[in-house]
Amino acid sequence: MDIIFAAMLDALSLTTFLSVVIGVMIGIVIGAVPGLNAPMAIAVAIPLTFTMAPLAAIGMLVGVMKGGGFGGAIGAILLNTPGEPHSAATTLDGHPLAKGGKPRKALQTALYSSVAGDSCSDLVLILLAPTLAVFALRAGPVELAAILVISLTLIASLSGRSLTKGIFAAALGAFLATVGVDPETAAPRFTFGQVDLFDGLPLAAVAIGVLAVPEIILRLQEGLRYRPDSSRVVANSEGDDRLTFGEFLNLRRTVLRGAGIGTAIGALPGLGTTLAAFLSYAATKRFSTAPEKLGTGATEGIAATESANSAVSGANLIPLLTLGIPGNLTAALLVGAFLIHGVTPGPLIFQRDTSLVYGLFAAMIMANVMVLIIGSLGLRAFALIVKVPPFIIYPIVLLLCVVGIYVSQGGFFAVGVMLTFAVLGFFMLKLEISIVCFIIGLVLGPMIELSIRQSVILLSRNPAAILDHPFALFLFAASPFVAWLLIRDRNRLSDG
Amino acid sequence: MKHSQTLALVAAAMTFAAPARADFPQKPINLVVGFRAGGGSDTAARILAAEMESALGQKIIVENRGGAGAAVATEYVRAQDPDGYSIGFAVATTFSFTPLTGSVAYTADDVTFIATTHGYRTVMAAPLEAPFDDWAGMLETAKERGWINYASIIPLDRAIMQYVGKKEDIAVNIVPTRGGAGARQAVLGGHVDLAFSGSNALPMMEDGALKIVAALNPEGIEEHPAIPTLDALGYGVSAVEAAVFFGPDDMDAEAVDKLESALAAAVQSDTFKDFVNNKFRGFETFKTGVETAKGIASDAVAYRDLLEFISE
Repeated sequence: MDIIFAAMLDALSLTTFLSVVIGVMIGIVIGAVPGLNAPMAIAVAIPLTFTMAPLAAIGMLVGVMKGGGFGGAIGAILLNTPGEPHSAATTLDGHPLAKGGKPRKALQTALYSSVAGDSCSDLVLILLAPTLAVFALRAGPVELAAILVISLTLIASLSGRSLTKGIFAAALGAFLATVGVDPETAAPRFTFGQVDLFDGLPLAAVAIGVLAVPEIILRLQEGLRYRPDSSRVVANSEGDDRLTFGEFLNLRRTVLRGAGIGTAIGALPGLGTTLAAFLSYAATKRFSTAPEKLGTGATEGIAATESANSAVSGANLIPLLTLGIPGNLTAALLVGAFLIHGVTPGPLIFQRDTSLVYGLFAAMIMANVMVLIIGSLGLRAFALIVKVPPFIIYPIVLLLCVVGIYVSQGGFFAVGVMLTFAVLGFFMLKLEISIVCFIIGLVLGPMIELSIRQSVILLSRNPAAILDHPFALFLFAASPFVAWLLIRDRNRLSDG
Repeated sequence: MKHSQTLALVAAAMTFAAPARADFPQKPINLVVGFRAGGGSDTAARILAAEMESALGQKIIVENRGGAGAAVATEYVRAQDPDGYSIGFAVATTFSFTPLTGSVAYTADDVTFIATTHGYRTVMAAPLEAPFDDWAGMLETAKERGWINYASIIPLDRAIMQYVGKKEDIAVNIVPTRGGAGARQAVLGGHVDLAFSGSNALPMMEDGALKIVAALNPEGIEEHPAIPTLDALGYGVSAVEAAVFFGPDDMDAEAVDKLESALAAAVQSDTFKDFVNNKFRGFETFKTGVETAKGIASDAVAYRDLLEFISE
């Protein structure tokens, strides 16, 4: 215990503190820029840390990761431009609330929920990492397939007014996710000879294209008719644009639920942030006292997604540190950086790299506090973006989207993908086909495909071995029941 | 302006201009890395780029174009001007194996090789609770039970394991995984009997988290001589993987020379050696462009035979 405290105190040096602060600032700024995201911010920051002392370097990267998480919410809420697919969940309520004249309130909810979710999962990481890692390992392809199937069933309740349209959108997303090299045979599928498509469609380019660009076009249309003095946004953004402490306290159930879902999913490598965010949102809708308000700008919706996706980032370090298994792209970048700075993931990491690991934990706590402080200070400034007339801000946003996607997703090809999907998104918007379901299909489709194909191969020689997976069998059996329950409750849950 | 001043200026201009016309490089060089930013391959490329900058006296702009085992970067680089200012970083199998799969439009003849800078080591890992401790034991288990579950990461390791299965007459159930992380998860959780892995399995083995039963790179694992190579086990196959710098076809000869010698010096730096040996856990090796091309050509022949054997 003494060593742990010594290591943590060691981390509280001025250098580490400054590195964390700089990291958080880089993360927030890059995360907030349309088209850029947290993994991009980390990739940019890694070469900067090459010459730094290990603890300062790791502290900075952790700061970037956490700052980037909140930064992503800023773009999603104020501009409807999610940098990563999971931020698409935050746009559901965040953007309507900001558009409705309460950008600060929306950002505050995101910030506090994000920091709360992050802190909860960091605590779990610090206290339980080795135990949890061993437990999480027992979830193999069969269990992951079962978890994904029941999650998708739960998330189906987000399909909007028409179940048929929702299923169509999800199927379209899942179909487009098959573009790329077949995981089993390595044969290219629907790539039309384009090497750029071998690893699939660039996700952030598709997400921004389908979600943000059509919105930008619509707002520009409005902008042509824009008169500064009659702006609803400017008029309403004064006055009651604050989240009181009492209001946040009322969100505690939602935040804790999100943190729990995020931590559990983060500890299981291979599921990812998007699943956590949408699952938490679906659960919140199910248990909300006013489910019809979700999707129209409810703070509950923002709290649900932000607490969950931030919780994933801390919990992701559980399999990463003890097993060397990164749970998502951000974690994969971190593991590379850890290696460079002499932290070798492995079951003995707590004995071998004691001072660095506990220093890392101290840096994580420090980063949470810094995100809260820097985020709060920046809120007022960020919220001003909404007051800029649309005909000024939206062309800039569109330009940033193009440049951001060009830089982060692979050149003009990705920009082309973004613009193509913008056309699709525009029609989906007009036809009221759920864009959210489309994104869920796109992100979860490949995971479900891979885990089911793995399970089939693993069990092909000995099908009876499925009986060794009672947990998975239970989830599979429960799925139809859950589906029935959700269809029965549809009228109450959807606003139609 | 006075006459003497003008002369001095002209003279000064000439001293700068004359060597500049002859000397490559005169402007920053674009290095297109075929892997996403932040990984082990990218880090090595960035360390080398920094070392090359001081040798060449020009900025090297690193750009990541990841995807399809560096095939995306290869397609991009080979379409650029062969003047030496656009070069790429990929791995040997990008040229020796990927073209054999028929999914890309290039071959090893469509690029100019500049140098090989370091080698990768790959292994076969097994869960701690596996009922065997070595390769022979693995074969025995497979024969007794009738099959073995194997986590594959890339087409090459898949082909090698299919080859082993055919030679040994065992059924290899090939479970595809996404990247190294998926295979790692499968082997640590005991969901498969055997898994392909990069050198990051070495520290895991040293920590007592998994077993390693064979090495796929022909050099073997120097610090663990007990691990046999597939070659030593009598299969005559291996996975030759190394970091390769390349440029478009018919690249300017002077530029190739300059870049090659800059890389030859760069791999000698302490930072790079420390990274390769202690962090990346690959191995030191340097090959000139010509040697690289020769090695890749002979690897390609071996892989073609391998693929023919398994498809027979």
